[in-house]
Amino acid sequence: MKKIIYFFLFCLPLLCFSQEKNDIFLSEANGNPTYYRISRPNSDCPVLLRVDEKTKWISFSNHESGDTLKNNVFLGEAKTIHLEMRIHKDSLRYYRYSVIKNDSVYLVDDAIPRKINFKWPKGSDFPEYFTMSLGDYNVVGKKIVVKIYKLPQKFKVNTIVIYNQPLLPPKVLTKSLFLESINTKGLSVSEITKMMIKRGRESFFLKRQPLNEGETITISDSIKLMSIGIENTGVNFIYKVKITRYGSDYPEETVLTTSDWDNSYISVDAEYFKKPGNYMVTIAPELRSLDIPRGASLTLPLTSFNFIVIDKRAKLFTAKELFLISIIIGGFVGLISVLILNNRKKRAATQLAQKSQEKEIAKLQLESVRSQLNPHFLFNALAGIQNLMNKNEIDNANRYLTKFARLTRNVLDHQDLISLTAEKMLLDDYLQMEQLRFGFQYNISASPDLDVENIEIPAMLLQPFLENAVKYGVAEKGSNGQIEINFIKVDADLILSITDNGTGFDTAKNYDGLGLALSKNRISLLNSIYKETPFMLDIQSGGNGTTVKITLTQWL
Amino acid sequence: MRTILVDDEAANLENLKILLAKYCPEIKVVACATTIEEAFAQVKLHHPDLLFLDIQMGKTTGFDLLKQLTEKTFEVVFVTAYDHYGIQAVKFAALDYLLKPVDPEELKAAVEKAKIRIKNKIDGDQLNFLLSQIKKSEATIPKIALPQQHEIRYVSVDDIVRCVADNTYTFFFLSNGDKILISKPLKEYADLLKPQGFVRAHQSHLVNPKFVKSWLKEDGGTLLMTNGDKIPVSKPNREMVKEVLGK
Repeated sequence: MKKIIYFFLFCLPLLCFSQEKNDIFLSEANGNPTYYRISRPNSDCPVLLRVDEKTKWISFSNHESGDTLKNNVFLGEAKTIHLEMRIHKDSLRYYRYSVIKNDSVYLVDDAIPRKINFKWPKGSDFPEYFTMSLGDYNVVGKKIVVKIYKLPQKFKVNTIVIYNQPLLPPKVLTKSLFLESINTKGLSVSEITKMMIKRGRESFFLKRQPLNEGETITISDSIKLMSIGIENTGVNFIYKVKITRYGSDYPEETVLTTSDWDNSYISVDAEYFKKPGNYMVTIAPELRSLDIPRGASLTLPLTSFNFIVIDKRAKLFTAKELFLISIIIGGFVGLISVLILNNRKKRAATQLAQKSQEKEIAKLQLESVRSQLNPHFLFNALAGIQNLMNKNEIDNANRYLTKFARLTRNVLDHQDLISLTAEKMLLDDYLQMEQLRFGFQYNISASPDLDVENIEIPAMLLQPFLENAVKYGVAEKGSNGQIEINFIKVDADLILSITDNGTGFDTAKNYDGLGLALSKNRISLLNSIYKETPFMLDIQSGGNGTTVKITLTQWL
Repeated sequence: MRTILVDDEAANLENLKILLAKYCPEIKVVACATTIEEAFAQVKLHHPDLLFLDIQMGKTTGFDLLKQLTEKTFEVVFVTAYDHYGIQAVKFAALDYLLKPVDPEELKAAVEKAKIRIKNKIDGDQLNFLLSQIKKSEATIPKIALPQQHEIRYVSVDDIVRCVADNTYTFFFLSNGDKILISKPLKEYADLLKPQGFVRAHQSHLVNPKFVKSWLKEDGGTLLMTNGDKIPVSKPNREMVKEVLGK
């Protein structure tokens, strides 16, 4: 090994002939381009690599388990690479090399290195050696495989894989826990793992249970291992799994080795996560012998997920915990005495909290009721605008379209309260649109002693009743239809009323589709919020028409 | 008035152009732009008096254009379809905006207002104020622009003690004793300041809880402010006020 390093270092100063000034991967010692040895140290075919100035980073020595003559090189955004090797002049004819692009195209097929770059003179460090070029290759977005051997050892093939593709964050496809079932009793984890590999992943020996992000696991002896499956990137061996436990004192880290990946799966023995705590599993590429030009940086993509482990089994207290507990108990005694002293105040606060919770629920229900009121009128209104467009009444179409937009916005905006002025405007918008269809007359008025600009009422309170008045009251009466809306102040009460001169209906009967049930429901919900100022609904209906009166008691 | 229209949808531009031609003949549309870059170039070229500016434009916003333009020698009317955050920011800066589809009446009013502002040359630097507000994180205490006849005051929300309605006007009482009259209804400021913690104690009163000293039982409920003012609490609001102040 040492020998090779020396070899490498010594040849650098002598490589001036191929110097490229714009090369960014320069040797620290002399400013010449760096040549990376990319064949394995135990190989007898020393292959060197030089990258171009476009290259952002290089990781030139990554080994996989299994093949001791294989090396993986990762390049960041290189454009072209140059390959060469140093061979004694007498053994030139024994070398054979192939260069394969993207696992499919042979750029060089079992050729003898022929192009001499440099002959080492007698007095040099490597007399009688030739530097042979193995060629320059465009590597943009490519994977290049170099295979090289020296006769007669035809089967001792050195493989160098050069990846010049972006590193992707590992994609976790599955994560599951494997629990012991009856069949695995008495077997060790390694025996179980072997069996799983042999019999397929969904082995019936272990019970599979998916693990969700952030899930809390109660650890027990029956949990044997965690299995993580990632998408096969072809270079899964560079992805390292790191398990970090954030316990009560200091974070603990466990890094699993690459050889643990089986196809695209890794099994993590339960030993690694049996302690209670918050766990984070990180999967990230780990590149060996990384070279990055000064000032540049490389961020490796990573994926992570979390889970929590708790221990159900009762534990004996440590001295530290006992101390903490005594403090807590002491605190509790103090707290209780304070509580007793402030009992009344507390109780009131609890009631208030409960009340506000009830109110919150009522508000939510109110919200859903209001969205149910979202009127079918919208589509009729659109049809009305369509009609105006078809009649070429562009000004009117514009006017009604903006009214329609204002009404829609009001439904979407979910405002709790709305001023009487704004309510009046919306009712006016609505009635004008309906007037377009039915031709009735209407009037909206407010008593002069009402501060309409500043008094607020719940939004969409009158709308459903007004819809009924139009639909079931005046729609069929044409221009004889009449609707009257009044906002009246009586002492501290605010009375909102809608009167139509339609044919009326029986208030005792439950009319489906009248939207009355919804509106009543809404008023009772409002009453659970405004307890001190109840809303009262009064509907009078007869042959001469219908009056809906909503009284907001003590509102003003 | 030389005007540039900016909207990422060509149909909206055309629409606005037609409406302006019909209802606001004094407006001369010198250019239209559908992207921020285009708008930037057109503004540099034409030096318009007025800009109709869409807020949401794909991944960018109309605010991005304003950020790029260092010299803002024009008035802006924002145009938006439905954008709570954007409108809120515009309201805080007391700038003008229109909602899509554009109401011809509102369009006329907006142009009228812009005309007056251009004539009076009110340089409130409101656009820069708007941008500075957008940049800030939510944790910082926002400021609000209070437009008066001849000047615009930028007041920290924390310095507002209370607001009182006077029909369609609103009085602002500030912590330094100043009293400012603004020609906008209280409701508008209630909507802006409630998310900042303000409480509508009464139909005519909006209160900053930071300046409430105590709750008096007189008249069924009254708030005593730190400066000695007494604010009535109306019945429907009583529980809500207690809840907010209890926190």
